[in-house]
Amino acid sequence: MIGKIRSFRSNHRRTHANPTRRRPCVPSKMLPADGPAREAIETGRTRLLITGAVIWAAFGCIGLRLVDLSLLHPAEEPSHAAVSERIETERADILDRNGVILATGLATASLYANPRRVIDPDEAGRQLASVLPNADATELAKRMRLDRTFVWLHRKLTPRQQWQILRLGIPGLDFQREEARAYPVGHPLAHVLGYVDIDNHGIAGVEKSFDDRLRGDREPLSLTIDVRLQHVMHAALSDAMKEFSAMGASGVILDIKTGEVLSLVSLPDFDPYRAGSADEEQLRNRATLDVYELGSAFKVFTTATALDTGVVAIDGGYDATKPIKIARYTIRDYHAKGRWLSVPEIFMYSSNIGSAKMAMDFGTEAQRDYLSRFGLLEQSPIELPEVGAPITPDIWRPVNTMTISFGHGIAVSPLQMASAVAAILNDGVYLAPTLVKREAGSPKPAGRRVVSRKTSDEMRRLMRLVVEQGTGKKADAEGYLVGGKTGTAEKQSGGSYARKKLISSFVGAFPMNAPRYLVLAVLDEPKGTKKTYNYATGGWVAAPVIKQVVERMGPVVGIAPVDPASPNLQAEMAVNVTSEGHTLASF
Amino acid sequence: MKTYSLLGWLSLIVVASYAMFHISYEVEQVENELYGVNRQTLAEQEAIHVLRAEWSHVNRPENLRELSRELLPNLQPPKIDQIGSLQELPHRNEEGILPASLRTVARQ
Repeated sequence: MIGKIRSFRSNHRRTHANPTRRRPCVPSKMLPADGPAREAIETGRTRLLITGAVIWAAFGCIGLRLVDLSLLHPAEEPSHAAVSERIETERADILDRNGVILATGLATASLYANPRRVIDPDEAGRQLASVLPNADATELAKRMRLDRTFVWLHRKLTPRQQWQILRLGIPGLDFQREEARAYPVGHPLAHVLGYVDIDNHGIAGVEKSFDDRLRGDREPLSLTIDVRLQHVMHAALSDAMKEFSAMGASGVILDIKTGEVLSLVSLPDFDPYRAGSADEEQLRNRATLDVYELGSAFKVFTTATALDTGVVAIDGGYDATKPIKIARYTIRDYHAKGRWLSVPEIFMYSSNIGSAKMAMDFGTEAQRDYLSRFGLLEQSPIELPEVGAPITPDIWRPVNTMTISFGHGIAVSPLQMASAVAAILNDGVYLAPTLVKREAGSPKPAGRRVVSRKTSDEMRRLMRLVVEQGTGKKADAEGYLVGGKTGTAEKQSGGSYARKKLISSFVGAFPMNAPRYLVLAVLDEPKGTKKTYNYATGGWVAAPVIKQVVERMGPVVGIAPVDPASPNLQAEMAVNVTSEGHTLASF
Repeated sequence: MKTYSLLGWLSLIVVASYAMFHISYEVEQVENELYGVNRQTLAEQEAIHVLRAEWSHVNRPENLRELSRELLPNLQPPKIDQIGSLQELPHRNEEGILPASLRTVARQ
């Protein structure tokens, strides 16, 4: 091409009659001086000049463009190499305290159609319906007939479905990469984690309360939950629920020293992938949203208040001979002893009469003050959207003070109960329960003192006594110095208490020489079995759950079993149960 | 003289433009390679991500319990008398278990 142009040009030069040129190729005498021939030559010369100029310009352009494309352009265009080197996820992962993945995003394909390019919507709909579950062929065809360029057909396909659709080869369909939230641990954590909607917005649990954090920050969110303990609690509660045909159950494990929630279980639970088809009973978080009258477990607070206000000392006691009649109620003892009872006895035999008398001694004001200090009069500050408000009397009459002393007439959530007891055992310092793991090295949470160190120490011994000799013997996991308090309350139905519908609970802690972990189990409407002589009280149905949980979790959390008979421990746990001089003093 | 300098310039231009194009193409090629590697890294990361989720799923305590029930029927939860401290271990006679060359090391 270039050669041709050159020869063209040299021809043209040759015919050019320029006298100033050094080496004219053609003698001028060969050219006709003028006339039509000369004119023709002139025309030809002009044409050649123009053609040449055009071709030069074209090649110039091509050359420039070539340089531009090969040398200059790559710098301007987004470089191939600038692909991000980390996979991007829409929502941050959620981890347990040991880094186990609890929730993560997995890439999936979603199917959409460009209806303008779908050739036969009816046939396409029929074919798709054969691959997609629960899909209606006419509905799909209708969507593919819409006058739009984009319409979703099915969100978040499984790899198998995607492959089947690809194999159908229907024109006008395409896939969009989307993230599907996966919960590898599944239903035991369903209530804690919650779930997301189809557009990955959190709509329950931690997914909701930390929605902004999870969407904004790519760093995974570490919870305080321990998957192993969650499993231990979940399994123990499931077994108990089955054994006693209970309606529901909930359980909490707290780290007394930090307020961290290690396990939070609510049963029945649901499959987080099918939250939409779960019923209300399954979706409700019984550990935080439901409030219950927890019965005798409240005697922990009554006794702590009495000891802390100093209305009675640990070696004092009350006459529990006769039931108390107040208004239309009669307060009687379930495990009646019919005599004067010392404070430790009132606590270990769970005497309603003794507790009511204690409460009358310190009075309504002190009761409200202390219950409020324990965090029982307001919602739990846990980082979950599903938190129930406690139910307290509108007008706090003396009869309320008395019934509240043994846990009737006030309803709190199991988690509130757990944090309150943990506060008493944490040397009397209340720590807000939390689900989010503290960063290593960050300062310890500042708590607030609710009872004195002395009261805390006395309560520690009393709670051990209940398990050692009182109503909670079935919670005694050997070697772990379990302490606690049973609770059995009749459920209210239509304004009156139903005898056969119970809320049976046990709030325990271990090891009681230096309380570290609090374990709470609540069973909703358990029925007694032959094995329990038809009893369905806290001591019979909930205490064994605590025992099982403590036995399993002891080795996991690294608490070494001890010999409770050793003299050191005996001294640490000593309580004078019967105060001399008072025993049978009244009668 | 003028011809030579012209020739010199011309050859310089030719060499320079060749070098320029050559480097440019080389960069493009290397960039393509990097793109490929990056894509592969991403694909691997994605695979690892899925595997981690899968590990967490397969490793959940519920599943392990079922597996150990099925495959290790004699394995029971530990009893407290199975848990002890190192101090409780009786001292073994060193002479019998260690070769002479290691005895001094063990003593230290």
